[in-house]
Amino acid sequence: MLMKYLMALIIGLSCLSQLSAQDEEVSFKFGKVTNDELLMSQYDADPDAAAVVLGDFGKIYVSYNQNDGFMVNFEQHIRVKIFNKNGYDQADVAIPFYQPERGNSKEVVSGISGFTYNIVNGKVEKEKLHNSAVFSNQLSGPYHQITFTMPKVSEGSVIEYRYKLTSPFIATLPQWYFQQEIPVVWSELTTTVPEYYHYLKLSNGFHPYHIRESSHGTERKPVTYKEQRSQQGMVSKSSKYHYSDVSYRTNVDRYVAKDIPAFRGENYVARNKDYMLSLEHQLQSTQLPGSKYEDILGSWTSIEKVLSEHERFGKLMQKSTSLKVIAEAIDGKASNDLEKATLAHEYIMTDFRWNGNNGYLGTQTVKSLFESKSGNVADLALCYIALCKMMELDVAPVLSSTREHGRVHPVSPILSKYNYVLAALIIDDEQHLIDVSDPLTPFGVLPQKCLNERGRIINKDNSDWVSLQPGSKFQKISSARFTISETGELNGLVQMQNSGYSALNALRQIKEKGDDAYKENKKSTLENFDIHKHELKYNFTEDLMKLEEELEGTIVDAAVVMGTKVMFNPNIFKLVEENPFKDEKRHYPVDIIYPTDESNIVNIALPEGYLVGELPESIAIGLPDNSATFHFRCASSQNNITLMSKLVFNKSVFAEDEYDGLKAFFDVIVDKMDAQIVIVKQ
Amino acid sequence: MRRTIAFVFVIAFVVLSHVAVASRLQQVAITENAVVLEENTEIVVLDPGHAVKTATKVVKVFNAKGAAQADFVTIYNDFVRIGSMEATIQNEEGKVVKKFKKKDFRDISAVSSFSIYEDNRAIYLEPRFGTYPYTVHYTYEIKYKGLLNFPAWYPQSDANVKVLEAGFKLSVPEQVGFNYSLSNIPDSLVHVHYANGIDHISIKLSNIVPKAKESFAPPAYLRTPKVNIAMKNFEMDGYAGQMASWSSFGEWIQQLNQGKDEISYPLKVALKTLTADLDGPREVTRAVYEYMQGRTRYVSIQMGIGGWQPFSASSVEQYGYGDCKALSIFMQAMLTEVGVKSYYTLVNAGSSAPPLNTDIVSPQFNHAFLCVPMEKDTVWLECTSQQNPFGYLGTFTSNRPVLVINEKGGEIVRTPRYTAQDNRLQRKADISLKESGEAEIVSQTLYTGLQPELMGISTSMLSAEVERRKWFLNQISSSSIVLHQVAMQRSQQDESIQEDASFSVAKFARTGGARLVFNPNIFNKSDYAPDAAKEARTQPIFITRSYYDLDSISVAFPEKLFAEFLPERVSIKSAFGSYQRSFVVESGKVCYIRSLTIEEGEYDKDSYPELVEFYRQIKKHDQEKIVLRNNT
Repeated sequence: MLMKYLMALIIGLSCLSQLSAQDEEVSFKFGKVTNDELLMSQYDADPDAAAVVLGDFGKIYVSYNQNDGFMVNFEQHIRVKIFNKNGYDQADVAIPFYQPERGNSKEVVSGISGFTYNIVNGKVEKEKLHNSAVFSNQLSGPYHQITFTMPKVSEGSVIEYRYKLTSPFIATLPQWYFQQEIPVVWSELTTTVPEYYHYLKLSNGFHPYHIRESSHGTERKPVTYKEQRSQQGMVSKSSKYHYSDVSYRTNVDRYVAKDIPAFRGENYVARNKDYMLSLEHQLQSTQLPGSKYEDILGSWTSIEKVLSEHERFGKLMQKSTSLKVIAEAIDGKASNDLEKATLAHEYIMTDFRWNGNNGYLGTQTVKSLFESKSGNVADLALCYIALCKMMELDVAPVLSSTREHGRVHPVSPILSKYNYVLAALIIDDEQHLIDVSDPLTPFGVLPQKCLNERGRIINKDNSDWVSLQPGSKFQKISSARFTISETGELNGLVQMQNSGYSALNALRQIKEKGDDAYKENKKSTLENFDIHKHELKYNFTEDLMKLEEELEGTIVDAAVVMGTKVMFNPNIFKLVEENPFKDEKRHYPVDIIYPTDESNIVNIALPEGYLVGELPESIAIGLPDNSATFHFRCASSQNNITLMSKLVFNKSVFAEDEYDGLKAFFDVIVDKMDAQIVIVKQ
Repeated sequence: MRRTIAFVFVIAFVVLSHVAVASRLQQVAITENAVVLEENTEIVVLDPGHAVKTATKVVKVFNAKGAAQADFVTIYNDFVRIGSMEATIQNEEGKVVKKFKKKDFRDISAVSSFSIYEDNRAIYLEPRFGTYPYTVHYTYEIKYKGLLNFPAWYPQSDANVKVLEAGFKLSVPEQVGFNYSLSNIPDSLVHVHYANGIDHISIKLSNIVPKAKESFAPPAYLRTPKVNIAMKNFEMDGYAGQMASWSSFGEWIQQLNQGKDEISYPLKVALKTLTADLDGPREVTRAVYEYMQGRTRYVSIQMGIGGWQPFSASSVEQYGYGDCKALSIFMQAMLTEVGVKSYYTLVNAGSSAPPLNTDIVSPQFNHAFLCVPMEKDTVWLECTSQQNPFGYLGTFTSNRPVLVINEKGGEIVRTPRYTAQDNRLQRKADISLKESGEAEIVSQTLYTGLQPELMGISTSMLSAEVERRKWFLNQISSSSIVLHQVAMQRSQQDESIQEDASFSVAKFARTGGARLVFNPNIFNKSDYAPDAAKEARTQPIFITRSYYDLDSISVAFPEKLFAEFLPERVSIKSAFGSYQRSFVVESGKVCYIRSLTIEEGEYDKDSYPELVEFYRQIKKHDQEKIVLRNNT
């Protein structure tokens, strides 16, 4: 799957340089709708759609103006057909914009206008969006939002609106979503960028472009300007240039996507939005007139340079007096590098606390971190790295992204894709990845949220990708020894061994809520098991990847007594209760986070004088390439029945075209979990 | 598809004096994550339009899990202004280690997600310190301009946190006058006195301990102490009013709504035409309601007199949208035009909203809708929904006291309750079973009353097949389903929904040797049983909704099979409802019938074991299977 995704991206990228003009074109004149649009009663490609975007036109152009220099301009003009009341949400619009509380650099939204069109008594009525329905609101700090609502909306209405956003923040261009939660007939984006600026482009989603073309234009402007660049505090420089009447070339790119289905999110996906067709831009390099080529954030080399000098990144990894005492103390205690790294980790984990925030930049000075003992993930990771460095360990930060935040770009350094910092240590030629956010994840193990394909080591001499695949499985072995009575009561005991992520998850619950809450929860998942005794064996200080449980009790209502026969389900514990995949179709890959390995072994002693009448069939099935296997074996000997069931997932991501197989695979398992044994009195 | 509308923001906040706290630290057990050491609130009313609240709050935090208990948030707007505001963190020795000024509090918009615009903002602070334990001290002042919504006092802002000491003081000039009501506070703790033309009350509470977490527990408003307060004379944005009685409050509302009910001449003509041939007020009302639903839409824009002043009916007519108040007035104006009398009604809406406390006249409302008295009954119209069936109240506004604004000013009336017989799920399924275990299934299900809402059937499922199929497949507890079709139809007359489905299940029956084993009920199995109480139950039992389910399933099986095992007939009656389930085999068919009635209400705490047993029995019997055997 990963390869496929990678390929799709690479193909997507290489397409960017090709020309592919098509004959078909769609364009809308603002303020004029057609009768066809008004009379349309459904969207044939998706008759369920409550509304459809007839056309969505975006223009992004970087242009020069005398007062502000180069600015990003973004214009959107969208027309939506509303079929029924479930589509009314489309008439409520929000436009976010950014205005820092200090400084003159701010985004401005202007030129909002819109119309609603209806057919009333056979005539077209056009209702203007009124100023009184447009509101501006400061959400929090620099984040603002304009909201408005369209007038006279009813079933059958066509609404359209347009606006312009002007931004001095040229490091990124507004992200354009070709796909939406309702179907889109035509979505078109044109970018016009002066030859001085080069942007990295990142396409998300799988839907192909209908038109993709590039051309050039020229602009001529009288220029006397001061240039400024900044992006989330990453780059901040200013230099003065003096020119008059400069003519420059522009690069024009046009992207059209057509008949894009409605986006519907699915379960077992790390982040749904990663699959929504959209386009992002990040400033790669500049070559301003009269100056040489400057790499901004275009390569990992330039990013590494910027980050290592950054006061909220590189500066936080420097040696400090606050850490000196600690480094010395650990040095004195530890006998080798691994011990040093482990003790340093332990120190951060006990003395500091993650405040729940992510980010690839720190948020405070070392001094204030030592005061609050609490920080975001970068604050803590960089502090850990500083401490390791002071003990001369081979350590470097790793930029990564949490599952919730989405996948990173496999090639380009698109910084907005990152929100996390880990530490990579090399000790005796072995690499260790260290997370500092979670005291319940042992040294060298990545918590679930971090299992997200790959991260980037930021290291001046040796920068590279590093795999963030799970190092261990989700593993669970239960073995049960039961006896069944003539009345159908099952008594016995079960030993469970959780290891890997299974233990990690369980121990987190235990730590947070206590033994009793864990047992309560377990009880509620083990239906019909009347538990008399439940013991937990674990050790938070020694092994966070191991939990042993012993349960003793009676299974009630498990059997049906039919005269001299007793029928019962030998699956004391079910590997799977219900098929997790109920949807008929799948559009995106299925991600089950980590490989799993679960098995149940059950031994059941029969009552005196009983023999086996019927046994369920044994079965062994697998998905292609053994990516998943299921074994179910039931055997009897004298007055004993042994059942073995085992479910293994050797990979954690399944492509959407593997979905049907996966669903059918679970159907078989669920069926076997309901198997019945009949025993007969002789 | 329903939206909750809030035009009253009652955010309780809390607070305190500068009493030395150190002496009490020792008494606090470290078993909690955080504890509120003290909260003191003092409100001085100056005149009908002005009051000042000064408050302090001290929270001790024992560990990181408790840190959020010391967070602070308060809402402000044109009528509620924040005066001074500061906080400090003190370490265990009582030394101030961090100070926060007003500017250190974050300022955010407090627009709810359903609103296009509200003029509310909030400030908040999340103080953190690395060395535990520590205490956070807040001192602040809030100025009220306009005393319609008088701040209530709830010292235990989180029902799960212990409060050691809480104090409340209020002083009100005699000529302003006030009423108050107490929830979960004994009268004996309230001290009232009068001096120099000013009424004073003070309340001291200590050691407010959170109630144990229990299943079917009463809602938080029945568990936590609270004082509701209302000024008899108040003024809001230039409008003077009285809250001496519901009728005087109703008069004030009428004053705000005055002159908002104009509609245009063409609309009047259209309404006349629309209703000309209709028979009786009910049909006329229905037609006008549906007309309104087709031409308007709910948009929440909350501003003006703290959200109380409605936009006019003519603005709804012009733009085709409005909030609950404007839409209700628009609907009322249209009904007036066609000769149907209706009344603007205020309610505290929401499926788990605290009911109106009728002991005190105060604006405990967050929503407006319309009351239309008919000859024999009353129709209630929810004007914010474009899709509600005519007269549907739902969990949003049913079964609670509401304030009907009428000729007498205002009057408390109770909205109807949905009984189990109103909320029915009636299913009939015909299953034809093959020897292979495969089955073809045809089912018809009727959902009435609140059932569509309780079952999560959304209006978009009625029109969108994809959503309907997805929902349906999630209801069926079987694997290997092939769904041929599922249709849903809403009744023309009421809120009931008829569902028709046909599908096949490859492994309907477990096969093995000569036997087929199956549970005919793949539609409606209860998999819930509450935990048995480990300790003595402390609170009464609350069941919030009544309903009645009836599943009749007939399974036709091949001739050469006979029933080897049939579970026995079950019939259970309890105070909470009843359950029956039977299997009958006759002429090549298994007839399975299951009925379940649940009755809402408050039940004695001592009956909890009975409740647990009731649910356990249902769960157990819902799982029972029949065994068919080949007779060859």
